[in-house]
Amino acid sequence: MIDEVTLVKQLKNKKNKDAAFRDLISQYKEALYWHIRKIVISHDDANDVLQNTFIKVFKNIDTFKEESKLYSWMYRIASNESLTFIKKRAKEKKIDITEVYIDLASNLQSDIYFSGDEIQIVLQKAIATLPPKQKLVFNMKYYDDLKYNQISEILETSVGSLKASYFHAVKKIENFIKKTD
Amino acid sequence: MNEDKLNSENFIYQKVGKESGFTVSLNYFEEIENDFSIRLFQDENIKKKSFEIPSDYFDNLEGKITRKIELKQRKEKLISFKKLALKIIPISAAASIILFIGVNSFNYNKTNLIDFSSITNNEIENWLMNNSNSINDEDINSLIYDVNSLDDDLEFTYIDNLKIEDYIYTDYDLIIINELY
Repeated sequence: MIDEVTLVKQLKNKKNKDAAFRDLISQYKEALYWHIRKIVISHDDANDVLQNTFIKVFKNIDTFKEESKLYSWMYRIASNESLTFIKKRAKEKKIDITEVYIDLASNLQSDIYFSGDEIQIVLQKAIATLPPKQKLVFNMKYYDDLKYNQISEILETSVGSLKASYFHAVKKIENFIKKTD
Repeated sequence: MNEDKLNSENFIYQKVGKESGFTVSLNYFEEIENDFSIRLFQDENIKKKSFEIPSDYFDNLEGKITRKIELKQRKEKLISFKKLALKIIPISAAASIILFIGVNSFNYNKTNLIDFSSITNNEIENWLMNNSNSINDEDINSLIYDVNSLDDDLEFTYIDNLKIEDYIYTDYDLIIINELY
């Protein structure tokens, strides 16, 4: 595994760029995929968004100022690409973003790339009702086990605000699950 | 708040667990680098591949450009004369219209001004007092001439004899005579 600093240097060097990019994909593909998948729900959509994310990273690596960590920068791109994708879907269907999420969660039962049981579908439906920021924070904290300072760097939000967002998210989800019991 | 959050978090964990239920196809992550590389390659080369140029395009390109510049300069000279003419025509048209309106408005005002009945005797006296230095003999002569010409305009022929007799035998004469006595 190549360290971040070396990888960035190689990515910014035209000679090593292609080889370094392969290493970059290899290192971050799974983490980014799951981060995206939990936002866009469908595997096919997650695959498209993941590809767009890596292409954006490849094209914009020269503008990466190294003020934050590479993974934070890539997570931020992935988050933005995912949210943009959902917004685009909402615009196409002329419905609200929340409605898009509810539709996606409702379709999970028939999704061949979903092996969860009834309660996991309920959890996804509960997450679907959250505002975008609370959704991102919940996924990163609950599923990805990221620390608040890491999430803070990715979303460029204060730790205090993230804690509040997470608190509201878990309370809403708890209430949602209790209602469906 | 923290305790409350932990309780909610534990509730979700006990109910649902950490598994999201999302799955991917077999070997998805193994093949992903190739997919990206192909897509990126296509994306990067799409511009180059889409546009083609004639085989001799770059030959004599300098000559073609310089000839084009010379032609452009000639055209600019012609265009500049044309532009000048086009600029002058509307200006002269506008000037003609203004002149036409100005003359008419001057004449209109002039006819309105020649209304001697509206001039009071005081105004004439004041004018004569103020402009006595600027009036020469010729001006006075011309005025006398004008007065005579006005007298000439009186049509005595229209006064018949009976009217003259009536005028002679009016009481006015008697009055005048009585006054004399």
